[in-house]
Amino acid sequence: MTLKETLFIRYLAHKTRPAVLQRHLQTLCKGCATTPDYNRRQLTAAAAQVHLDLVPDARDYVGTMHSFAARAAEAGASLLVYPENNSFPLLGLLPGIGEMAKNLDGEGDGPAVSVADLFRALGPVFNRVAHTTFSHLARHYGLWIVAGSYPTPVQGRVFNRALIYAPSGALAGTQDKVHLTLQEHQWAFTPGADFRVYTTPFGRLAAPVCMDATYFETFRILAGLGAEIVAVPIANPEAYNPWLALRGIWPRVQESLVYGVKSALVGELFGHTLTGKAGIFAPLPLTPNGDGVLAETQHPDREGFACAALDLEALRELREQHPYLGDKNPALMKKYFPGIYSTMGG
Amino acid sequence: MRVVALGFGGAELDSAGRLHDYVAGVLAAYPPEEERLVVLPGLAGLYLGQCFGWLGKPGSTEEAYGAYLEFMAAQPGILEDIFGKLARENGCWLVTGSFPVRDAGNLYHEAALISPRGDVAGRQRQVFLSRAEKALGMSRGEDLHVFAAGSMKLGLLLQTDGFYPETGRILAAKGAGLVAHCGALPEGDNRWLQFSALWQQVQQNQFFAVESQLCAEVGGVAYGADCRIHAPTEMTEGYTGILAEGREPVSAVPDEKARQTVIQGYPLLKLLNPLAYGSLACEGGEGV
Repeated sequence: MTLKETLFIRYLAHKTRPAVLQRHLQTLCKGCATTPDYNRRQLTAAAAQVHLDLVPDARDYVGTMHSFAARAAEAGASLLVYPENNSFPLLGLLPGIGEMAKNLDGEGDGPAVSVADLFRALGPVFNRVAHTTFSHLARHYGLWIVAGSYPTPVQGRVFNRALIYAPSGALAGTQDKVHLTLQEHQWAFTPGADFRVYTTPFGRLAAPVCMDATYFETFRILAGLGAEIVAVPIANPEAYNPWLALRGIWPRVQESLVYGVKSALVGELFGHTLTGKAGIFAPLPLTPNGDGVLAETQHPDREGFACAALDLEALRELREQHPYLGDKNPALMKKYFPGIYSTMGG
Repeated sequence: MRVVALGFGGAELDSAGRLHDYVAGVLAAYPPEEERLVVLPGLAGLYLGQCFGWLGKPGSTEEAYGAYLEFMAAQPGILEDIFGKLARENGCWLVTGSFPVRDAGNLYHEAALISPRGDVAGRQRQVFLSRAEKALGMSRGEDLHVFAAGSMKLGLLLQTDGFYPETGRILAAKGAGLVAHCGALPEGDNRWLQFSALWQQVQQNQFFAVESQLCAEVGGVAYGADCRIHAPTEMTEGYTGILAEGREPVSAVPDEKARQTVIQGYPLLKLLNPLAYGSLACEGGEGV
């Protein structure tokens, strides 16, 4: 890193220092902190649909994130989920980001900047902003928060990492995205190596990221590890179509019998249009319309908020009684798994 | 290859001759020079046995299975002969739909693939069971096969198998380009249930599927759901993932070249990350 780059990172770190953000959070979070009260028969989960607006000041970012937490608390939520790549609005802190975007991976006239390089440098600053923000919001509102995912540098590699905060304010868990998109491979990101499930007072929670929900293996493994609620932060770079959107969390919830909470990042960045609808999903018999959807935002391209009550006891009962699911065929599974993957070039 | 899904909805099938006329009548609507695959629904054996008067008048599902097995013990091979003749006379590949078979004291659902010459080209047993099937004392097959059926590599799924994504993944890994599903869902609003089965299997494996759903009564239970022909969303109008759907007959000519183009643009199975599946590759898998 050149002296100029080092100075710039220090300048950014100063501009986003925790003391400044905490002061702002204290202004925003008025009144008494909330004491969590969990009921497995009626647990409210909420999902943020964040519009990607580049922020010139980290306090603007904090303000946006706070607005969702306040709304979730008002709705009586115990869990709030934010989207994939939730640090992207902070790219607005970079002077000339628009011009720099043209040079990402050598597309413009200036010196090429790889996306991995960008987050190798900025990740620690952005992740500190996230920690300050979500630790405070989780503590103040008594929420479990899946803060979305953050391109996170670790020993030279960059993971797309979801962060989970407990109402104590502690970072309770992380999940690295296991299935990278073609673009993330091009960006030289590194895939995660395992799936994790975390125990909360209301149930077992997991947070795989976006493309992970394309594959049944993700939810099978998580359900096998005891997951009851699977939060999926997404940032989907394609024009919205309900059928394309149906290929992710919805079928995974149906086949593995879990609740699903999807949060979406929407808007424009670097020439890509991100779309998606935040929503709360459940196995068909646990939804009033029998369609697997408990709540979903109306518009796929603007800010939104979805929340619904989950009945984790009903989920447990359904797993024991489902007419079609829950069967086991160990002989078949042993014969084919994991050997079949060797033929697929994964 | 033209694929045709039949569900027996509204057909008068009181004899093998009527069954032949029914299939021939459907196929007459399509160009005779086409390579053709006809897929019959789940519980086809029981339903046809009931229609042909082999089962008496079963008042329950249990009675229907009992009567069918008793009849087949006395006249083994009779249904296969009918299916062989049906495929031969119509010049089509035929997936027979499912029928109960006893083997070494175990009861299975099985389907056969019949070639246009009338030979049995392959057999597939159901590998996952519903709660009701378990209550009937049924057993599970332990293999999933892919067969050469004309220009297609074909896998077969029976009834409950459609809800288990492991089945589609195995068939995709074995190179299936087309999966035929013989289904039987109790009548009702099955739209979303069907999306949670074959539709999602197609989307996460990028093969074609033809879903034949029984639309008839067997043993006092009314079955009814749409037949569908599925394809990856990118190659269907409005991205629905459905080439054709309805009660029956439902038909389409899946475009293999277009499917390969979709896979090239979005190579889903190459983006799997088996290293992360570790010892938990799947429940019941190695090391679990």
